[in-house]
Parts: sequence; structure tokens; C-alpha cells
Amino acid sequence: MVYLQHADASPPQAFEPRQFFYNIHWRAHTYHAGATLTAHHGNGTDFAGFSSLLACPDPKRIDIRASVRSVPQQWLVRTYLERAAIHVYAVLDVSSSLFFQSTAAPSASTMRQQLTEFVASLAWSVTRQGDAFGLRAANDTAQASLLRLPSVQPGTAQQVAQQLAAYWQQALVHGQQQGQGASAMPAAIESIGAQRALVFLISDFYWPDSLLQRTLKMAQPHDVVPVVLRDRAAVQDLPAFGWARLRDMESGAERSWMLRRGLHQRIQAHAEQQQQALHRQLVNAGTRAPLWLAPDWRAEAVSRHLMETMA
Amino acid sequence: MLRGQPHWLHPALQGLPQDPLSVWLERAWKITLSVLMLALSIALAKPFLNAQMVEKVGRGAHVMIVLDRSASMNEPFVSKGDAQARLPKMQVARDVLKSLVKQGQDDLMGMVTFSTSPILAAPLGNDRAYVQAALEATEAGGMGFTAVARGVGMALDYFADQPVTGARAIVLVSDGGAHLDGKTQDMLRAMFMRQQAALYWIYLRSENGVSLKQSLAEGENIDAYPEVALHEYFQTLHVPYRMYEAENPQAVKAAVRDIAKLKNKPARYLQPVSRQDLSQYAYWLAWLAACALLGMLQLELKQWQA
Repeated sequence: MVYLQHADASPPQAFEPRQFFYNIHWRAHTYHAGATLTAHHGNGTDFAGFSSLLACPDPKRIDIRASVRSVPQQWLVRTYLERAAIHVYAVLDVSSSLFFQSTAAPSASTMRQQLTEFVASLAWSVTRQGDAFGLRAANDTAQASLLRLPSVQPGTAQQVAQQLAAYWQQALVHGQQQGQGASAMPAAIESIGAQRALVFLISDFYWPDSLLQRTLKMAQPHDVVPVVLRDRAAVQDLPAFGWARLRDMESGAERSWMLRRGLHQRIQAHAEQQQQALHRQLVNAGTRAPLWLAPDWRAEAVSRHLMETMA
Repeated sequence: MLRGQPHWLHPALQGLPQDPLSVWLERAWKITLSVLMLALSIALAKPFLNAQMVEKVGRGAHVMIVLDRSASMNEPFVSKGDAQARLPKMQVARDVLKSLVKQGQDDLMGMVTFSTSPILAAPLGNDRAYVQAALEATEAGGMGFTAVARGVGMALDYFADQPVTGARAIVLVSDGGAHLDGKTQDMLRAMFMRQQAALYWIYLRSENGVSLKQSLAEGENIDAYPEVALHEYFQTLHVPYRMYEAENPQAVKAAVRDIAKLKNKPARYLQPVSRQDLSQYAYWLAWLAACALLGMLQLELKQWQA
């Protein structure tokens, strides 16, 4: 579905929301009508149990067969669970490493654009599903311009896309593509509150271990879906041969690499090891299995991943 | 941030491997760059080794040539032969002395010419070209009188402040004598004693000059023959003295050959070495460093292309 709300907008602001679906295995706690089961009885279609007519005086739901079976005999009424909306948050890491842009790649598929696209699609899917979408973002400080309280407004996805595009421009002007870590991520997650929410933790996870552990600790009350966004050019599609001086975008550390076949293999071995370690750490901390977001991600694949990792 | 080297930005290096070869390449780059700058600045400062004296030991003598340039030297030898042999005494003496100068490579030589007053032609030293040039300069005809004492005195002066590192000789080439008064005689004698210099007198006998080989006849006045008086005075000097009476060019050559054999003592002398420019080495070093840097620059990645 092509959705171009802003006809006059520049290309990065135009986005094509893709809808994917998610399921929740825990009960919603809000009272806003939605798709997720709650713990309280009400007007839904999900059978909860029987209760006495006196306790639940709704003669329409008298179950005669159950009443006849009951000893001592009494009138039993079927009760149902209500369905309600949940809060879905996207917590974005907007540290400098997300600004990485390999010169070889076409400019259309930078990580920023991927991120914008995914978050807008998420907002779109969430509002379509009737849930409330909220947004948090942090690098070394929490980013107030990307803070959204959970809302079920229909235009959320467009607003989020616009907000992100404006944010990237601002950040580039202020030179945040270098020297910004992600140290405010725990605080950003903490600011969501204690009520259980579905949290999409979107980052490249090029984090120090301590930061990862603190962030995951803060994310304990929530249902966390880590979304890993990494550019292949950083470790896999390296130039075949040549001497490269590299500088880390966040820490500023410098390294020289005489790229050649042996070093390629070593780098890739390290990268794979890192990926496995990250996967292990995330799962051990109680999150869902991380979603590795490729530049050509498909909504179906995301839906499938979310369904598979539901429980 | 002001940085000299262009860097590729990378999102996360912390978990990725360090490569020892690359680390050394980076170090080599820095070291070579420093060497280049250092070598260039040293080269621009133009360092040099100062002019030095090198001590050399050779077998030879310190020879001062004392050459008479009085007018009488322009006359030919006593000779009844053909006109070809009737060369001026000066020319003969010059040719022979030139060959003497050419022979002894380790000799120190100097030259004083004199007529009415002595002129320093070449100081005592190892510089042969200097003495040769001085000899060539005597081609201009001689003039004036024969002031032997002052010429010899000046030549002796050149031994004065030098260490005795070889046999010292004064080769006096003259065709006549001069009367020396008593005071001058004493002074010369003292100087010869002090400098321990041997004296060789090549007496170029003129056509009507007196021969020194036979003593004067009875009753002749010695004052009429200054050459004889000089010869007798030289014999009283208490230093090795030899007189060669040369009546023709061949005799002069024989005398010079004798003198050339005198190299009996090892002569020690200092030879000057001109100053040495060291900046060329620095330039070479800078050039090598620049080549190495160019090589490394070729290795460097120009474009991030998989």
C-alpha cells in the first residue's frame, strides 16, 4: 500500500508503511478497547469460566447445561474476558554509529532511512491493530524531540516519519554523527514506566557489555523485541585489498587495517562471534530472540518472527 | 577535531580484531614521516664537518728552496758549446727544481726568492701546485743584487714554529755570493743551529766566475771573491753543509738528485682536508623516506569499495 500523505515532502519523508502483525502472550492492563486479552471479565468473546448468577447478574448468559450439572444446583452464568489495547513503544538508539553510511552503498539505503522506515511501519501496524504507539530515543542524552507518549491517533505513522526525518537533519547539522554513544538508553527505557508494554528496542547493539546489561535490566518489566540494525559494509562487505585507517564513530578510537584475505576471515569470525554472543545475552536477559533487520526486510518475515517468538 | 590523516568512519571497532601487521604499518608510516621531516630540516640546516688537518707520515724532508733572482741569473752558464745549451741559468735552475718538486711526494716544500730583498713565494707545506706556480712565476726576468743572508734568514724563519718531524734542508740556488758582516754571520749561525737545517748550495758558476773547488791562490784577497767568502763562512756553520758547483745543466741535475736522496727521516706533517658537506646524506635519507611513504600511500585505500 503506497501511502503518501505529504505530497510536497522531500523523498526521505515519503514512506511506504508496511503492516506486520504481532501477538502478545500476556494480558493487557488498559481499559482502552483493543485486540489483546485482559485479565478482567467483560464483554468479550473469550470464555473465562462460570460464575453464579447472583455474582454476575446477566440472564442472557445463563448456561443451562452447566447449571443442571452443578451441585448444589444453582444458576451459572458464563463469563468472558475483555480485550484491550496495549502500549507499544519503539525505543531508538540514535547514537553516532547509526549514522554510518558506507560510501559504496546507494544513498537510498542508509541505516537512518531503514530505521525511519521500520519505525513508521511499526507505528502504522500498531495503530492499525488498535494499540497505542509511543516513542523514546536516546544517544548520550534522551532526545526530547523524539519523545511521543502512547497514542492511538490514526496519523501517528506519518507524524513519526516526519519527526524522524527532521531529527536526522537536525542531528547532522549539530554534528551528532561523531562522538555520541548510547549511554542514555537505560534511562529512556526506564521512562516508559512500570506498566508492561511491548518494547521494540531498535539499535545496532554495538554497545559495551555494561550498557547492554543495564539497558536489559531496565527493560525487565516489558516484553522486549530487540531489533538489530547493522550495515553489512561495516564488517562483511569490506574492500578486498588496501590499507585503511579507521576511526570509531562513537569512541573515536583509531585502527589501521591492512585489508587482505586473512584479515577478512578473522574480522568475519569475530563478527559472527559477536553476533552469537549478542543473541545469547539478549535471550538470557529474557527478551525475545532478536530480529535482524536486513535492508530489504519484508513485513511478512517480521510478522512471522514476531509470531514465532511470542511465547 | 583537527586530524592530519583521513580516516574511514566505522560504527564499531571495539570487538573487532587488531592486526599486528597493520599496527606496524601504521607505526612505520608515522616513523617514516617523522624521519622525512627530520631529514629535510637537517638537510636545510646544511650541516658540515669542519675543515680538518689529517696527520700524515711520510719519508721525506722539509725543503726550503731559496732561489736567487738577481740580474746575473739571466746570463748563461759557462759553456763553450752550441747555442742550444746556452740557456739562462735561471731557466736551467727552474727546470731542475721543478723536477725536484715533482719527485718527492712526501716532502714538505716551500720557496723563497730573493734579489735585493727576499720574497716569500710559497710557504712550507705539502702543496706542490703552489711551489710549481711559484717556480713558474720566476720566468719574469731577475733584477737587482744578491742578498743571500736575508733570503736564507727568511727561509729559516719558516722552520721556526714547526715541530722537527723530518730532515730539514735549505737548498740555496745562487750564482754568486755576498759579503756578510759579522753581526749577520752570527745571527745566521744561531738560526741554523736552532733550526738544525742542513744547507745545500747549488752554486751556478758564471762564465767568468770563480770556482770554489780549488782554494784561492796565494796572495789573492778573499774580499774580491764573495762566493769564496760565503763558502768558507758556510763551512763554519756546524750544520751539514754541501756545496754543488754546477757549471752546466747536467751538473745541476746531479746536485738535485743528490738532494732528493736525502729523505732519511720519516717526516710527519699535517694535511688539510676541505670541509665536508653532510646535507647530502640527509637528502638521501629524506629521499628514501619519501619513496617509502609513496609506497605506503599506494597501499592506502582510496575508495571504500567491496
